[in-house]
This record gives sequence, structure tokens and C-alpha cells, in this order.
Amino acid sequence: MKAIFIIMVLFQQISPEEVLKKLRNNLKYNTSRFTAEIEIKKGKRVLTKSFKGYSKGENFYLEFTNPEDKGVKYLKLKGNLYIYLPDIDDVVRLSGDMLKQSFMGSDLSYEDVMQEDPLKYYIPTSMRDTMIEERKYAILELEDTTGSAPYYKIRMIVDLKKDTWLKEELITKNGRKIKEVEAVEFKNLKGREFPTQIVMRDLRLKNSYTKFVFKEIELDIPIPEKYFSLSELKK
Amino acid sequence: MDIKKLALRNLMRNKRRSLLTALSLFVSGFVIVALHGYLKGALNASRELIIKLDTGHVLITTKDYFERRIFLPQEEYIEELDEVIRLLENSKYVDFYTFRIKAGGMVFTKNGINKTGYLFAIDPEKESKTFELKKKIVEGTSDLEKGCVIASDLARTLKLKPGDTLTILTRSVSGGLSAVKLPVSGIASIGYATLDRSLIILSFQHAKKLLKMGDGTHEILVFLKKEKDINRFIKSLHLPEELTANPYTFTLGGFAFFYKFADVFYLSIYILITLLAAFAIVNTMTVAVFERMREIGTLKALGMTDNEIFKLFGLEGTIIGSTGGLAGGLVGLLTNAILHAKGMNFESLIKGIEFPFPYIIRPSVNLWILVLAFIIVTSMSFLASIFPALRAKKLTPQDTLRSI
Repeated sequence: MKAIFIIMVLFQQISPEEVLKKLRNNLKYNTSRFTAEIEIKKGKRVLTKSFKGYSKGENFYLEFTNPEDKGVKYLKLKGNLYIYLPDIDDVVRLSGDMLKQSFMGSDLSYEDVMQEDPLKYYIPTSMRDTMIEERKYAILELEDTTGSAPYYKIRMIVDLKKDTWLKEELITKNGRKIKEVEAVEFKNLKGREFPTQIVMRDLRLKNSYTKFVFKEIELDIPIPEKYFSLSELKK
Repeated sequence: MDIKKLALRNLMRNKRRSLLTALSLFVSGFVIVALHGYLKGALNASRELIIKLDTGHVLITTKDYFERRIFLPQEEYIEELDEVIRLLENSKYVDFYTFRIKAGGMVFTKNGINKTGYLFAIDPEKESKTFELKKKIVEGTSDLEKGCVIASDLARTLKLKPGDTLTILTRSVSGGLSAVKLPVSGIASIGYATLDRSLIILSFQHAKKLLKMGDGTHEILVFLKKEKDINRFIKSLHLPEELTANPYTFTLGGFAFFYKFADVFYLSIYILITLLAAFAIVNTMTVAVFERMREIGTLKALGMTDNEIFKLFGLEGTIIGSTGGLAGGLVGLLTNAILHAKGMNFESLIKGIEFPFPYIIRPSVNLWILVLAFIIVTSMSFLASIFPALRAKKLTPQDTLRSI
């Protein structure tokens, strides 16, 4: 009897692979509609940009609404990123190394923005427990085995009860930590804890952060197909 | 006894050996003068390139811009220029000054090839002595009013020629995305690998419109009448609080240290090269002492003192070395003079290097390095002669008789 009990307890320990799977599922949705803001701090300057957008599968459409960027639109379609620029009334396509450039001057790169499932390239390499403010969390380490991820390694603090991450450290192949991402606020959306406020810091820059805030977000609702076409960009 | 005449006569007794020994010091003298001329020419050209293209003698920017300049913080710019212009116009040190706008951007072409680029706005008239855009044009014109000028390697990558249109995308100073379509007026060979791969030159009008920065500028490059007045000029400037003036040496960072101490570093190399070459003298003079043991015994028996014997052999070794070294130095100087006139093109070698080196290097021609080479070679030759001369000095007539 005792032996059976011990075996049951042992098998209740969740594996790193299962944790990763739960994290990915928590962030997965088919469609979304949202309005959001990015606050970008560089040195003494703080810029705020606002935009609205839609996503469907791996495609998304963003339209900026703040005065400095009014009319700028982004479309991710079939793995390509297109930008409509009202200054020239034309569309350009970003590709290759250009995707490593900063998104609208923020600490996010275009590559970061294009990841609909940022954890899909990773496998877990270790997991251990940690205590933060008397609460138990897990530190999960992930490594990219495909060569396709923008960051070689991720170290994240995971809330196992809510199947969500609280903090991520993005690390290069030579072990250098270059970015930190923190989920500051969550919202319960259709039974899941969804991060609605994220702060990213590029550690290579002094005095800099990017705060990404979903003002409104709806998941898994019908979205018209028209938003995911190049013709919609020029309208 | 005339030691000098005796030494010269002894050297002529075995001309071939003396010549061969002198040859190694000839090479040493040549290497010192030629190498130094090349290095000095390269460093001077590099320094001049940086001053002309990048920093001026003094660079005026906002403090935040200077702190983050390697990231091209295009949102940090000097908004009010009137006060700074007034200060520069009234300064006795200033030869001329010019404005620069710099930004990172992306370039898109109709044929679908895209690349990141480095946007540079200059005043071609004011910079006719520094940037010299007209001289750099290899195709088309330098007319920035009508379009832009692209660096040659970038044009090749993008498959652009004069008349083609490109789209430039960048961030405005308020952080928004901004774009412009411009025709290519011309293609320029900048002569510096990093810029040739990425530079797009615009007029101020186009750059200000693109970056939405009103009448401001990112940098003010100040060129002084005399470079040595840099620190005096900076002290005399009373810039507004948010601005900073920095000498080019400070802006260079680690490179400045290299420029300053390259001379000292390479002097140690010259000494080492000569010391190695001087071993030929050690060898030759040691053999000479062995071969002339009977002669040494005879000279001592005739009344020559130990010190005179020492001086004799010491002088022989020094004469071989200094003559060879001087001849080598003169040939080195002549070589530098010819190459200075022609110029040495290292484009294929340094194209991939990020260090600011121009493609064409002209070795410097300087008499003082010949003097320095002569001093080094003579000193090392003397040092090399000491051991065999000491050996000769210590020989007794009995030792020499035993050798018969």
C-alpha cells in the first residue's frame, strides 16, 4: 500500500515537457482583436504609440493610430512582413536581416513581433523550484535546437498553477543575457491567465525599456478575412 | 697606432665576408625605414579619414547623442543652432564648420533587393575640402538636390545605377516610421570599407524632411586652423547645457590610444629586428677572432694594449653594421618616396575590415626615421661586437702561440 502511494506521488511531479506544452497552450488562440499601446523609453525620451489590430492563425494586421505614425500599417501574411507607409503611399516587404531591426524604435525586434508561438522552437533542458515572496514557482530553461529561434536560450520563471510565465531571460549562444521580459499584468480570458502587460528591457542599452499593454483584447472571435490581404493595406 | 685605419683595412681583407655580414644589417635598416614609413603613412591616412569623414577636429552634439552615438540615436539632435553658430563664427580657432545628419535606415528597391543602410546628410559645398563628394563620384553626378548618392558596394548589392529609384525607410526624430522615394543621382567610392558597404548620402533638405527634424542637426563638425589648438578651442567654448564638444581623439575611443602609442610599440619591434640581424656580426667577429689569434698575439707582443684590441674588434663590428644599416635605410627611404608618389592600393585586402583604413596608403617619407634607424643599427652592432671583442681582449700571447 505504502509502495503504491509513493509511486503515485512520484508520478504527480510534472515534467518540463508538460510544463512547456501547457505554457504554449495557454498562449494559443485562433483569432484575436485588440487595441494596444507601446511605451518606449530611450534615455530621457518616452514615446507612446497606439495601434489596433487583428490576428488569425499566424497572420496579423496592425494599424497605428497615434499622430506620429497615423496610417502606418503592418501585415504579416504567409510568413512575410509588409509595411504600408502613408508618406510614400506604398508597401514595402521586410525580409532577412532587416527583421532583426527594432520594431518602431522599441526593444522588440520585428522578429519578436512575428513570433505567433515563440516557444515552438525550444525544448526544455532543466527545471527546478524557486520561492518568490513565499510562493513556489518553477525556473524552466529552454534551448533552441532548430537554429530558427531569435534567441538561443530562454530561462523563465513559471507559475505552475496558472500555466503562465512571469519573467523570461533571453540568452545568446555564448551565454550572454541580452533581454529580459516581464509579464506585469494578467487578465482571465476564456479560462486562461493571459498576459496583458509586458515589459521588455534590452540589456545592451542603458536606460531603455518597452512596455506593451493590451488595452482591449478578445480571443477566438470571428475576424473578417479582408484584413489579411495586401489590398487592405493600401486602403 | 691608428685603430680606425687598422679596422677598415681588416674589413677589406675579407670583402665577401664583410659584405655578407653587412647585408643582414642592410635588411634590418631597410625594414625599419620602409616599415615605419608604411605604418606612419597608414596611421596618418586613417586618422585623416576619421577627421574628414566622421568627427572633424571637434565634434559638437547633444550629451545624450554622444553617449549613445554607436546606436545612431537619431531622436537626439541639436534643435537650436543659432547660439552655437554664433560661438563658432566668433572663434579665432575655427577654420570652418559643417553640419551632419546621420541615421540608420532600410533601403528598398524595385527589383526586390533590400538592405539596411547608413544615411548621411552633408553640405557638399562646405565639405568640398573634407568629404570631397565630387571627387568620389564614379558614376552619375553628385547632385543631392535631385536625388541621393549611393556608395559603390551598396549600389552593387542593390543592383542600382544612376536614374533608378529607391525607397528609404527610417524612424523620424519623434520615433515614427518615415519614408521617402528618391532617384539615385550618382554612385560614389568612399574609399573606406564600412561606408562603401552601407552609405547613402542625402541633402539636408531631404534628410530633414525624412526625419521630420525641422532645422536641427545631429552633429556639428568643427575644423580648426591648427590641430594643436583643439583643447584651447574646447575650453573657450561656452556651449548650452545640453550640448557637448569632444576632440576627435576622445571620439575615437580605443583607436586614439593605438594612434598615440603605435610609435613606442613599433620602436621595440625595430630594436628586436635589428638585434636578431646583429647576431650575424656576433658570428662573423667570433670567427674573425679565432682566425686572427696569431695576429692578435703579434699585435699584443708589439705593444698593443688589451683595450686597443677591444676597440679594434669592436670598431670592425660596428662599422660593418652601421654601413650596412645606413645603406639599407637609404634604400628604404627611396622606396617610401616612390611608393608615396604612386600610392599603394589595398582595397582587396582591407575591404572586409571594419577598422577605418583608406584603400590607398602613401608611406610617409621622413629623414628622422633614417637617423633613428642608423642609431639603432649602430648601437646593436656595437653590442653584438662586444662579446667577440672581449674574447680578443682576454687572449694572452701564450694562448695565441698555442694555436699555431
